Amino acid sequence: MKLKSVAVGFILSFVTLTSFGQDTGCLSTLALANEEFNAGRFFGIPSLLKQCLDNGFSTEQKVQAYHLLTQAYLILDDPIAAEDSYLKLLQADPEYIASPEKDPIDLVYLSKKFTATPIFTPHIRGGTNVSFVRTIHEINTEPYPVGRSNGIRPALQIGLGVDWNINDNLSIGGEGLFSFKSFKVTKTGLSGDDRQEAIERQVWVDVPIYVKYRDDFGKVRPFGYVGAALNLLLGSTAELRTENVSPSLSETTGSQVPTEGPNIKLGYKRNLINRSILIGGGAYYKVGKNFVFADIRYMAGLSNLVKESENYYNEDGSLSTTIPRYRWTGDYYRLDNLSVSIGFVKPLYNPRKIKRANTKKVMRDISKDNN
Amino acid sequence: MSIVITTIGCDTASTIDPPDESFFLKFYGEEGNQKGVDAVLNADGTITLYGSTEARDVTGKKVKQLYLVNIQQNGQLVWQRIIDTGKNTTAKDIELTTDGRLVIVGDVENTPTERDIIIMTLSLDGSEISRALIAYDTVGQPTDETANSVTQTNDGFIVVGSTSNLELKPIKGTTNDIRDALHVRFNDDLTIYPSTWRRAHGPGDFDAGVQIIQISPTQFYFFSYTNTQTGDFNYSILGLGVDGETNSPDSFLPGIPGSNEILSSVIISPVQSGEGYVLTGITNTTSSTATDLFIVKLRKSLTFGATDYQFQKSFSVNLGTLKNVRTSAFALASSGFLILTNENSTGVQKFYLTKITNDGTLAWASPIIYGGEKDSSIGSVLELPDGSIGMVGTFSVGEDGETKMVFIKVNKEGKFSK
Repeated sequence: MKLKSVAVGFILSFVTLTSFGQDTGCLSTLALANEEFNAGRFFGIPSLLKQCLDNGFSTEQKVQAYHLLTQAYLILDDPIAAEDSYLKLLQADPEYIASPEKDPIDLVYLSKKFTATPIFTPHIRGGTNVSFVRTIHEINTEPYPVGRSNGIRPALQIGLGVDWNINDNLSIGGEGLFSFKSFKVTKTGLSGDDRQEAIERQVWVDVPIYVKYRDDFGKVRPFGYVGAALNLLLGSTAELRTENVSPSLSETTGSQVPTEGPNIKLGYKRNLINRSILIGGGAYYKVGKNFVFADIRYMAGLSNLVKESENYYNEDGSLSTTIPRYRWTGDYYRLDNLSVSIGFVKPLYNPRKIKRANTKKVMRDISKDNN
Repeated sequence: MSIVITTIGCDTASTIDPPDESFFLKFYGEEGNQKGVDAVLNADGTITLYGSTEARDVTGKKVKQLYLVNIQQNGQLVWQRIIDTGKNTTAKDIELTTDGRLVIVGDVENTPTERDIIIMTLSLDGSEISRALIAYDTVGQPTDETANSVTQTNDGFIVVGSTSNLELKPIKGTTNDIRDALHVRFNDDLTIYPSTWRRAHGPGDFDAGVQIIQISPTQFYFFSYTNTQTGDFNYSILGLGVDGETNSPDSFLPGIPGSNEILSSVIISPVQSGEGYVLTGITNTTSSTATDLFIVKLRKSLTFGATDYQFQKSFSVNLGTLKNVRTSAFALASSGFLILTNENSTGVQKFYLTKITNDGTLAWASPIIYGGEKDSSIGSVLELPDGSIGMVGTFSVGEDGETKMVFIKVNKEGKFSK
């Protein structure tokens, strides 16, 4: 038993020391390479770094090593090797941005030939929302205006999306969101003082498409977007309640008489395909190479959700039971929606050489600094 | 932003017509029970609905009173008025006079089995102009009078209904005689017409007047139903002279042998539908309570015989066992007739709307049914100036079944659609 413990301890010590030895060795190699570079001895740097680049450098050390190699190749007038080294630098750190403040100008120039901006940036999101009824025509069974209030009710949404990045700041995004939405309409003054409540619950698939502008630098990166959405209303039910507040003149005397019942299916009275416009914004928070984000979005419905030909009918074509039972006929309305979501973004970085480098901006920046 | 919204098409009140202009269903009345019976289209385009409502009288007692509601053609309320007679009163008929007044009749309930008839003239805003009561008795005992309709004549009005007073006719009937058809005539100011006018007819044991139509100053057609001669109920048409006496045989009895035909409505058929008279009601075999529509069309000038028929038919529709026998007909501006009746084939009474052609053929493949989970009952049907159909009646609403006057406006196919 004792022998076994000693053996395990020996093995662990060997592994640890080997690893430490390699780390400290590559660290020394990196330091040595820097010294060689500063001493103007550029030719030996690639071979010096090769072993640790193949196996040994941490990501951060790789970035430093490829940065050094890129500079060395630029000085050695080997642009192909310099570009290869810079591309590998971007593969190690896709968020690396060369700047005249900290990098040699020829490296900054070189960097403009490359980008690591992801072509596609997928994300998942989820959160809560509230809906706002925008009445187009109020329809009720009363021959005079009645009191009305719209109540908001929180609901949930979850979805997937992807941004197609046009450049570092601009992208076109699309999403598929599965949403529950709900709202409440209360009407008062029916037949004098009767009261009616209708809570409608809906199931949606929203497909927004938008143009997004985002900051591309820093730990917290704000963004904003505008767009339009196709909204599929998959189902709808209504919970109805009508209260005969003063039934003193009816045969039922005494207190209030409520009329309640099971939820009413309204899906057949609703248009499946609807449209909206949207505006939103939020901020990304960088976590490693990925991001988490918070988003607030207002989606303004453009479509009347009500199938006008079905509004007065049951699904079988008979007069809607809701009319005599609850004295309820649905209004024509659009539905706006305010949502707050949090999500996770995994950029699919794609370091690559771009066909047409933009170096004018570098010159402008240098001129500005000199002035 | 508004340009963007417009470009991609936002549904707004300006892009979608307000549905109430074309179709709606609205309830009228406040607390308590209301009932809708009849409606007239006024010259100013408004519609006056007539029915009854529960209200508290001055002593706080719950009383059923006459109820008038004036609405726009989109159903919006213009005014409503309750007419207190001091007793439970049931609305029966409203007509628009040629000089722009309203005339209404109703039954005033002294006891559940003894009623009088009230007739009132009103201005178009519902203000009362005059009123009169039809209240008879036999040897000091009040008799039961009930109204069915009121008709304007060249010099006043005639109220048609029935009475349990069997002494208004010159010759008393058999011992089985229980009710006579009533046609009481008034001057235009609702003073009673001179006693030269005969007030009742009753060849059968049970006779009930439905409608009277003045053909000339000296000639009337009197429509009723009676169980005379055949032992079952038939429609009956009599010619009445200037004194209200018959000037025709009393054997003109449209109907089906072995079945009861109960007349409910009589309208004048205009030129475009073939001039004459359309009599609507129901029929059922004497061994069954299941009912069918029974419609008779007569030519304009009656000889009170078989040659008067343009058609006489039932329709093989099962209206069930009706809790409230009532039909209403309206001659369409184009041609044909709307027919509204109750139906109770499922155990819950509902509206039954259909359309027939000038020759009595059903014009719609299937009827239009309106109603709820509890009983409804029709009042009357009319065609509005835009060709849409208006129906007044009564719906039971809510868990407690409170009844409400209802007015339904639908398109010319009977649908809630433009």
